[in-house]
Order: sequence, then C-alpha cells, then structure tokens
Amino acid sequence: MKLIDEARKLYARVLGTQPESLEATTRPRKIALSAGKQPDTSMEKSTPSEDIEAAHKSVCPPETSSTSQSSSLAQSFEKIISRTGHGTVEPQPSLASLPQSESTSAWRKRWFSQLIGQLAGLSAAVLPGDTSVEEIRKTTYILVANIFQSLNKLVADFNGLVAAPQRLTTTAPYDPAEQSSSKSGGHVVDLKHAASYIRCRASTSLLSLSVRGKDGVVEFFIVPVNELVNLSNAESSSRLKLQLLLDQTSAEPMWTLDGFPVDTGELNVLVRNLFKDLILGSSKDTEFELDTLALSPDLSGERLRKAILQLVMEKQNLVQKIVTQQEEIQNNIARDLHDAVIADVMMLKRSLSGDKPLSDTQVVKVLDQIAQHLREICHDLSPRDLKDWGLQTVIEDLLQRVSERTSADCVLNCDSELPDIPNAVQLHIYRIVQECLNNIEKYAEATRVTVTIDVADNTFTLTIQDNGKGFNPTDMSQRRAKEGGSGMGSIRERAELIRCFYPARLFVESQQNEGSKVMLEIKLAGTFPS
Amino acid sequence: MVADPISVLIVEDHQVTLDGLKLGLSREPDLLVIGTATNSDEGLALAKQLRPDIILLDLHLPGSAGPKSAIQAFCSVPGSRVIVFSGESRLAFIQIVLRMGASGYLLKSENVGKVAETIRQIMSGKKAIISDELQVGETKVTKSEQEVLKMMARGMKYQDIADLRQTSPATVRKQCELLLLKLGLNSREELIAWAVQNGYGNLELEP
Repeated sequence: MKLIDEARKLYARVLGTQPESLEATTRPRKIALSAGKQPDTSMEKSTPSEDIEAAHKSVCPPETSSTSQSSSLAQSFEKIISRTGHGTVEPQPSLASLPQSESTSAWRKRWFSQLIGQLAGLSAAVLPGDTSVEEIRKTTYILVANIFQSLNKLVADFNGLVAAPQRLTTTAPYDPAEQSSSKSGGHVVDLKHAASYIRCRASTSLLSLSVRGKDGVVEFFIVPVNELVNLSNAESSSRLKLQLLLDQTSAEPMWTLDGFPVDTGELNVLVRNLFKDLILGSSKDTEFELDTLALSPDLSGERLRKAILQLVMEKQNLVQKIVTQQEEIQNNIARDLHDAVIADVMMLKRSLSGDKPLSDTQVVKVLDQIAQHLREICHDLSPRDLKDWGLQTVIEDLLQRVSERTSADCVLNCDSELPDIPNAVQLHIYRIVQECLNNIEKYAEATRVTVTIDVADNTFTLTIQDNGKGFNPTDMSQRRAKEGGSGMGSIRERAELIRCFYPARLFVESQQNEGSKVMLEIKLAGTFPS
Repeated sequence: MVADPISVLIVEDHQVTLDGLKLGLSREPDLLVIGTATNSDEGLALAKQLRPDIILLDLHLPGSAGPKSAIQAFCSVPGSRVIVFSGESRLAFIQIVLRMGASGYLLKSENVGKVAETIRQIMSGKKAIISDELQVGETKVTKSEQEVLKMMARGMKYQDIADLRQTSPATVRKQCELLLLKLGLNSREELIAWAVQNGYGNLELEP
C-alpha cells in the first residue's frame, strides 16, 4: 500500500511539476498514454509487488546517446539483454530503497516511467462491461500499439549500439478503420474494415517480426523481409510465433495466451524474446556475423556464446523470480495474519481495555479462534508434516480441509505404495496439489475434487481434477491483482523444478464450465518416449 | 480377589503434562505407572524392557525417529497397546495413526478421567477410541460419504461399492475409516448399523 501511495505521489509530482522529466524519459510511452484510458483508474489494480516486478523488468531508456559504438554484435546484444533484462549494468533497487531514495537517480525514472507504461498496458488489457465489436477492435488496436511501443524501444536501444547496416527499422501501427468515421459505440462496422488487420513490425535486413491484430486476436510472425510484399501469404501458420486472444466471456476482457491471462510485464518478456529471436535469426547470415566471426571464426564457439548469453539471461530471470516470489510470500503471510489474526487480537484488546467487555468464555473462544487461524497459517507454510507423515497423508489432510471448508467431495485415490522420491520433489508435488486445491477452492465452485496418484511403469502420475467452472481468465486476473501472482505460473515452475531430478510433464486441461484437470507425470526411471 | 493393575508407560516430552498424567493416573487404583520417558529412544527402550499393557505416547517426540516411525516402533512392542496423546486434531493424521496400529487417540485437552477410562476400555478389548471432540458428527459427512453409507446400508461390499463408484476398494475403505472417525464408531458392522438406523438404507441410490 505504501508503495502505491508513493507511486501516486511521484506520479502527481512529476505530472504536475516536472513535465520535462516525463518528456525526457517517456517519449515512446506517449503512444501508450494516448492510446490507453485514464491511468488513474487503473492504478488501483496494480499491486506493490507488481510494481516492483515491473520496475525490475522495466525497459530502461538509454542513459546517454553517446554509448560507445560497439563493433561487435555480441557486445551489443549483451548490452541489450542486460539493459532490457534485469540490469547487471546497475544494481537492482531493493524494496527498502524504493520508496525512501531521494535521488533523481535512474531507477526512479525507470521505475516511474515503467509504471506509466504499465498503467497504459493495464487499461489496454482491461475493458469494463460488455464489449461491442467496436470496442474489441479498439482494444486490439491498443494492444498492437503497446506492443509496437515495446518493440520500438528495443529497436532504439539496439540501433544505438550497432553500425548502420545492422540497424533495424520499424513500421508503426496503423488502424485501417481509424480513417473512417466509425460511429463510437456503434455495433455497425464496415465489413471492409473488419477484414483488415492492424499491423506493425520491426525488421532487420533479413527478417521481419510482423504483428497483426484483428477482432480480439493478435498474432506475431517472423517472416523473411523479401516476402513482405505479399505479407498475408508470408504469414503462414508455421511462422506463427505467438497468438494472444482477447477473452470476452467475462465481465472484464483480458488478453490471454494459451488460455491464461497475460499482463504487461509478461507481454514485455514475450516481446523481448521474439525480438531476440529476430536478432539471432538474422545474425545467422554472414552479414550479421561478420564482427563475431572475426572474433571467433569457429561456429561452435558462436553457438557457445549464444548459449552462454541465454544462460546469463535465464539466471537473471531466475534471480528476479526469486525476489518477486519472496515478496509474494511475505505479502501472503502478511495478508493472512492481517485478515485472520490481527482483527481478533485488536478486538480482544479493545474488550480487555474496557471498551466492550467480553465474558471469560467469549475471550477463550476468541483465543481458540486465533490459535486455530495461526495453526492453519503454519500448516500452509510448513512442510514439516510432509517430512513426518509422507505425501499421501498430507494430501489427504489437504483434501479433508478443503472438503470441510467448501463441503465439496474431495477424494484421494492412491492405492500404490509411493516410491522413494527425494524430499525436494515431494515438496514440489505437495505444493502443486496445494496450489491446485487453492485455485479450485477459491474459484472453481466445484462439488467434486479428485486427486489421483498412480505409480506404474516407473511413472508417477498425479491428477487433480474438479467439476467446477473451469479456468476463468477474469478470476485469474482478480487473483493476480490480489496476490500478485498467478497460481498456474507457480505450478508450471514447480514442474520445471522437478525436471532437475526426473523427466516430468505437466498437462493442464480446462474449459468454461467443464471443470479442470491438471496432470503431472514424473518418469522415475528412463525417459518419456518422444 | 483383586486383578493385577494395568501397567502404563508414559512417553511425553512436556514435563508438566507428564507429571500431571503420572499423578492423575496413580490415583486410580487399577492403574500403575511403571515408567516415564521424555524422548522416543528412551521410551522405546523402556517399553521393550518393561512390556507395559498400555503406552501413552505423545505424537511429536524428540528423538531419532519421526512421529511415523516412532509410532510404528511402539505399536510393534509385543503385548503393549498404544494410546496416542496429542494436540493434533486433523483427521487425516489420526487416521494414519490408527491405521498403524494405535488403539486410541486422545487430544491433550482431555482430563485424566477420560484417559483412565480409555485405558480401561482398551484393556477390555475396544479399539480405535478417540476423543469425543474429534467425532464431528453427521453434519460433516460429505456427499460422497453419504453415497458410500447408502451402499453400506444395503450390505454392499467394498469391492462392489468401488466398482459402482469407479474407484478402488482401498479408497472406499479409507472413506469408511474416516466415517468411523467422524461418527465415533469402531467397526464396519457398527457403521452399517448406524447407516441403517439413520435412514440411509431407505434412500434411493443415485445412478
């Protein structure tokens, strides 16, 4: 909360008294501001942890335009990565330093300008009420404009570092329907316009990252530049890199990827990765490799360098993730304590200080309640039970508690003797079940939840199935706004971590009103058939 | 003619609880506390040496073994029956404690009278005695448990119930175990009788 207040103050101050600094740091973002809605209203939706995350992820503007003209593509790219990623150039601002620092240092500009970008993004991602065709078109346009803005930033940074022949060009988005005087809010849209795509792209001399949007669908293609003349044909399905869909089934339409909502931070990462693909794809050509080849004529060395870059980037992402998750955990604990315990304690205090006296029985009852809440918080946190009692019993306990709270039927099917699995893996499995059950309890309104553990052919299979209303992107976004993270994301990460021990696969199936099914397969010996 | 007193070993790491139990039980003429220990290793050695009729066992004890293996070890002491005495009130854990062979499970909120009473009941052959507080009653029976009760009331076997519910007999058995805990019953027969008495036998089965 403090952070949001601070952000508001900063926001007001800069808007009010320092317009020039805004101008200096946010040139490309003006597009987003004008394309988006009023930022103030969306501000409520961003949580402190998101802001911090966004600040860390932020695409920082070039500090100076006189950055040394690097001769090597490798160095340039490294710089792009370190700037656009999670800066090794500058130390990360810690949470504590965020609100207090009084310097006009770069991070504040960066953080602040990112906040504005994010606000614009949020307003682009969230549209209230029922969506007409016109609104969908507009939302699609805003997203494309935001993507272009991200791309443009990356391109500008990159171009600042490389020699002229390697520079990229961009084509700003245009909206074919914009020219015509479409009646605002009207449901009638010219068919000719409806058939046209809103487009933007970034191109090297070889490849073009083409973004096209229409009717709540935004797609990314990487196509050869020489095919740009016949772009529609060039954009074949095999070149489709990414598809974002506007989910309109809920009250607040959300952009989704593979059925999961995408926020601005994630979108930035996606765009950055595609940009990376564009650069690396282009650098395969000799023209792009001239510099690096001079440094290292060995192609395997080149590949090694890329691999190292990739690893460095992933490491930075990971560190980022850890920091973010720590924040999330602390937020969760704080919220649990606040919601469940502090209110009761304050009530007791008031009562004992004579405000509204309670009988001894009542006091004991409140104390019991507090103890119970604290115990529940500890149970959620502590994996001690898992170590003491084993996976089967703790999952059974989780299910019984969900059943008690929701009166849903929760059953664990587990007839197999569980194999000896490392504690770390057991913990990940437990957390996956916990997170799935959390999601189900909070959003699915399921009446039946079944967890099945099956061990056969050296394969451990965990299935969590419910008959609830399925994944609803709006609910997911509400949860995100409240808790600063997506449950499904952490499930995927856990599955990823299990892969450090065994080959593992995660399957998620869900449809509106069709329940959901999460399945984790772990190969305890051997590998999955490819 | 006076029967031999029931010999009791108390293994409990909280000194106050241990002293209270020892004092309370020693007032009962038919009970005799023959030893106490404050950790699982010491307790197990004493149990093997003394072979008490009853071992009163705390669930979380310091010592080399975790609670699961500690209970298993105590339950395998020949001639001794185990009553677990703990603050843990979650049924899943109690279920597994009883499944591992403990004869009773009492919450630490019980008074000494209840402990003594439970010891006597267990010595007279009763099994799976748990604190009344843990018997949550019929209101906490879930829909799927109700379904199982209906089938039980019709005299169906675990295997048949499992087939009908597309699950395994082991899952049905576990559900019945949990029902026993919730309802404070001791055996499958009691469960069937309870189901019939409470009208589950008259209800139509849902397809």
